[in-house]
Amino acid sequence: MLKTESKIHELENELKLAKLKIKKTVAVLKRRTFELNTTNNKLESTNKMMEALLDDQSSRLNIIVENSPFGIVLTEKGKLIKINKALQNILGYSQEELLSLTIKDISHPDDLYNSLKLIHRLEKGSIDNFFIKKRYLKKDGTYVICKTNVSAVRNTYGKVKYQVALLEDITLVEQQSKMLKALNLLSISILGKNDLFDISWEIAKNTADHLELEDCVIYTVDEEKNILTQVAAYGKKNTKGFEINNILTVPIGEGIVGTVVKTGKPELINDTSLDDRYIIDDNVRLSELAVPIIVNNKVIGVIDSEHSLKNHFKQEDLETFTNIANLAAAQFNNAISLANEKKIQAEKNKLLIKLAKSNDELNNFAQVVSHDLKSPLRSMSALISWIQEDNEGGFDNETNNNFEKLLKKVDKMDHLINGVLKYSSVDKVNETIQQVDLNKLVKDILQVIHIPSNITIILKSELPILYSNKFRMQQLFQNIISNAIKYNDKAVGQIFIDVKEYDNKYLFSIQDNGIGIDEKYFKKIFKIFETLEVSDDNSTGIGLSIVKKIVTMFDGKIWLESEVGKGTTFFFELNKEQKINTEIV
Amino acid sequence: MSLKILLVEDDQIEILKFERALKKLNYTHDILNANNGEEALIICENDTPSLIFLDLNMPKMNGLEFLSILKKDNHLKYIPVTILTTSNNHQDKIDAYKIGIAGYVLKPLRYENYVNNIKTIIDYWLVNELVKNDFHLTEGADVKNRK
Repeated sequence: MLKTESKIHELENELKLAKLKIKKTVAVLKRRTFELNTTNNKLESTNKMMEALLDDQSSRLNIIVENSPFGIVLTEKGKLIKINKALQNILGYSQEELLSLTIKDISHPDDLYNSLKLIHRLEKGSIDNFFIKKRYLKKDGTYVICKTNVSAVRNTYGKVKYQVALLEDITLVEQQSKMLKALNLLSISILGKNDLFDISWEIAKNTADHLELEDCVIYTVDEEKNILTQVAAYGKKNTKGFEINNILTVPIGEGIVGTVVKTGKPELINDTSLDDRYIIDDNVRLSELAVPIIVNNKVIGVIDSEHSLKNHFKQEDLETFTNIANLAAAQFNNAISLANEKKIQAEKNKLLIKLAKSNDELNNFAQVVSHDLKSPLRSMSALISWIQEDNEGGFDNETNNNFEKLLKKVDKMDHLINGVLKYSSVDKVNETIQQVDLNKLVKDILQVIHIPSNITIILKSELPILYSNKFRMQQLFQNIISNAIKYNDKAVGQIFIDVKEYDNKYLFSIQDNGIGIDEKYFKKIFKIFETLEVSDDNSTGIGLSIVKKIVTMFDGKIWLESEVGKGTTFFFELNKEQKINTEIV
Repeated sequence: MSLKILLVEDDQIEILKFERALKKLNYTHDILNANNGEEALIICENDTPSLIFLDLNMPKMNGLEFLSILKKDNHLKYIPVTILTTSNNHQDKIDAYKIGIAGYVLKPLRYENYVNNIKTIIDYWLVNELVKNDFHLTEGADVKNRK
């Protein structure tokens, strides 16, 4: 029994111990569970935070992508998988439409090769990104030119997973620069060209080439015939160089180009089949652009281009053509005025040659006449002398007197002939300009000419040294001084020679106290063969006309002051540096 | 001493005048007459004159043309040539002096003056050693023989 009791007791103790253990374990469990819960809660909240953060970032990125002015596209193995709004706008497709397309579908076939080459290098890993200028096909069938930047997005193995491309539409800039380039090249090509034909061809060729036109034709207006004529046609119409096959002429006011001339306004025709003004040249073409070339508010020509397709020409093309027309107008204007100038010059030259010829003829005439007149005069004079000699004492006084008178008339005639010769410069000297010391020249003259004892000649001031022609200066001074001596009737004759210096000229004066000249003769005395007194054998009336001619020859002036009975002063102005006015010689 | 004078002149009165002037001066020089340059050249070839009076304006061959040919001839270029003309043309004077002349005299209007001029010229050549010794003739002949 005791044994049993003790066993029970033992068992009871063990139970107590076990209970205690369980209690302890539950407590630990309880604690652990709590801890776990807390951690879980923490984890959850962290997770939520992370999720929120991720959402935020991707939407921000989206905002950037969607609002970018540049087209952005993400591609995977050539397929478009993400296209931003800007690119949709550039290409004219919706997001859905684009998702079914590949890069190849929207590339210009001519640009594909270059871009595929670069993509290949990107995939090989030799480059990470590249830049290309290429054309993309729009939904409406036209192309846009884009600056494109392509970057690779690689996976952990370095393989290209995606490609990101950034596109900038530069179509407008390209067109403008193309237009500018075309205009620039055109202006260079017509620079210095003065022939209407040359200029027209350059314009037609350059316009067609640089603007990629099917043709370009230049018409000019023929005002007399009231028509337009093709002067240059580049494109299909011309096959062999600068020559037009079957030149078309259009009456002004008819056809599209004729209308442009009449109104002075450009015409842009989108469908010529709907325009009954259209005149067929070598072929029917559906679009036409015609712009007037206007010089001084007058249409002088038309630049015209046709295209086989409808709606080919745009407002920009019209602007370009207008610019070209302005350029052409300026050059045509130059050419026209140059042509006119040349024409005038040619006429002038013709006239000059004619003048020179008649001048030569006149000189020859004077020479021939002088010889032909002088010779018989000498014969007459000799014959008269011989008759006198052979009949010495055989004639009465009256006959002898008549013979003397006859001889004097012959003398007078000889004087006249010599005078004409001098005046007409048949005895022309070398018209060289050199330093002429007038002081010495006048003193030499005074040595040579006969000065009666009652006359004194006074040099009031030192005469200058002139750049002039010595012979002409001598003729000038000698004639005036001789006149002053010849027409002096005073017991004490005085002649004063004086000079005053001005900026670029000298004013000479030769003053006498001779018989004087009535004012009414002031002009007349400078005319050839005019003498004021009863003609004698010595005065031919040529001296002062020679003086006048010389002064005029040197662009100078001559005039006089005089009082009958008291004397005369001749004034003449000469430039310090003289040039011979050859037209008067 | 007697000179052989060649007068190259186409005007008959002028020829008469020259002869008459010499007669008046009582000169007995030989006068050869040519109506133009061509005739003068033929005369010079056959009968070399000691002195030439040359008019400028003549038909066929004028005075300056004759003078140019004369001065290119080794034999004849020594003959003194005096131009006797009505041409007061500056260019004629320059051309004549360039080719080579012994003088340029304008025909005066008055006969008395003419006689005086002719006298002066002939008298000058009469006292001239060159003519007196027939220098140009012998020299010229030598040159001609040597050719």
